[in-house]
Amino acid sequence: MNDDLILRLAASNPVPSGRPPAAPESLRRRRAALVLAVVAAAAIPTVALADRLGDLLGISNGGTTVSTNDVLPGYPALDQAMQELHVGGTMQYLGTLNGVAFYATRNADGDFCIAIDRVGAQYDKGFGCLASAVGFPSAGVKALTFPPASMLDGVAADGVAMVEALDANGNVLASTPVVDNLFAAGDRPPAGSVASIETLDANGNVLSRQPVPQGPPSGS
Amino acid sequence: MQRFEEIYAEHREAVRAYVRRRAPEDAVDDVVADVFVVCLRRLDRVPEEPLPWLYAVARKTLANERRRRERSAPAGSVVARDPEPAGDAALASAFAALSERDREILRLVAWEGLPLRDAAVVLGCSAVACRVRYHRARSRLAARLAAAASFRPDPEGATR
Repeated sequence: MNDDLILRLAASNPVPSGRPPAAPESLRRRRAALVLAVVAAAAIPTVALADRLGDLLGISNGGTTVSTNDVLPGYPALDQAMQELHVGGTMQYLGTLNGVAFYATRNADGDFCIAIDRVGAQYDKGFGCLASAVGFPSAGVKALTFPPASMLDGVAADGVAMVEALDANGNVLASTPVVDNLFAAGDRPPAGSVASIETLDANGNVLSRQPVPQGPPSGS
Repeated sequence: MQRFEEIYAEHREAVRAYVRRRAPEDAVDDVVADVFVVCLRRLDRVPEEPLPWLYAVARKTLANERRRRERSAPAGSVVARDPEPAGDAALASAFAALSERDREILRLVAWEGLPLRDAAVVLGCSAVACRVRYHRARSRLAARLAAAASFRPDPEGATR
């Protein structure tokens, strides 16, 4: 079986049985389908592809195409993450706001993937695909923060003018304006305190309030 | 009766391993015994390939056992958690953050080594639904893992 993640999980079996994980038959079929999809994509003229980038990300800021090799260069963990998450050879550079460079794409599973790079800084940079953001942008999901629950940096849907981090009681912990679908707060909300992310339009009307997934601590 | 003996002899260890991966050690013997009692009572319904069916019975028995323990636990106490992926802290953390629904299908494939058509029998869903469920669960695990592995937090806790 060629699925490294499942093999890694199998290797951590708390009660090993010696029976190797079976290759899901769908995976083999899907691999063939992916090869076909890549061939089909290569046949699309570059101009037409550029026109579709806005549709790909679902926001007005389609950015400019860059090689994934140019995203967070010299960062070996990124290569592994991108491979694990089926990210292609390019990402969209969406711009730099408050010293944070934003890159985005959708992976082969359709998940919205985002990379943030605090240019010139050593920390608070990374990459992830947000499986929780299925459907972004949508009425219920109008902002993606990365990493979820710990930073107020990310990408917002069209029409969002302000993003706020709220605690469990609805108090505003941090807020930041949105510029060209991007937001980057100067301050990090207190660790573990963010319960939801709220988006507002230019008139201060609440567009969405999204609960924040409480995952494992980011970083290793 | 001969068929039951054959099933028991052939699959006892696999069922026991399945239960041990999901339950505290002190519950294993009772749950395994209950599974084979059900098997004996419903022998006429056991399919030709019995292992996925046995896992399905074990899954329901484990759920009952968990509910029983939670009911009988003193208020405020912590009921023993499932065994986690061993020896891989990053994977264990990402795995623990998934829903039980996601974890179970990944366990069935990675730990029990079941093909998806058999996992569908265990979970009581169609093969197509099971396949979709598996790929989504795998994606979510990869996303949790990759986000945690690739993000380099500021050790001082200050962004700028």
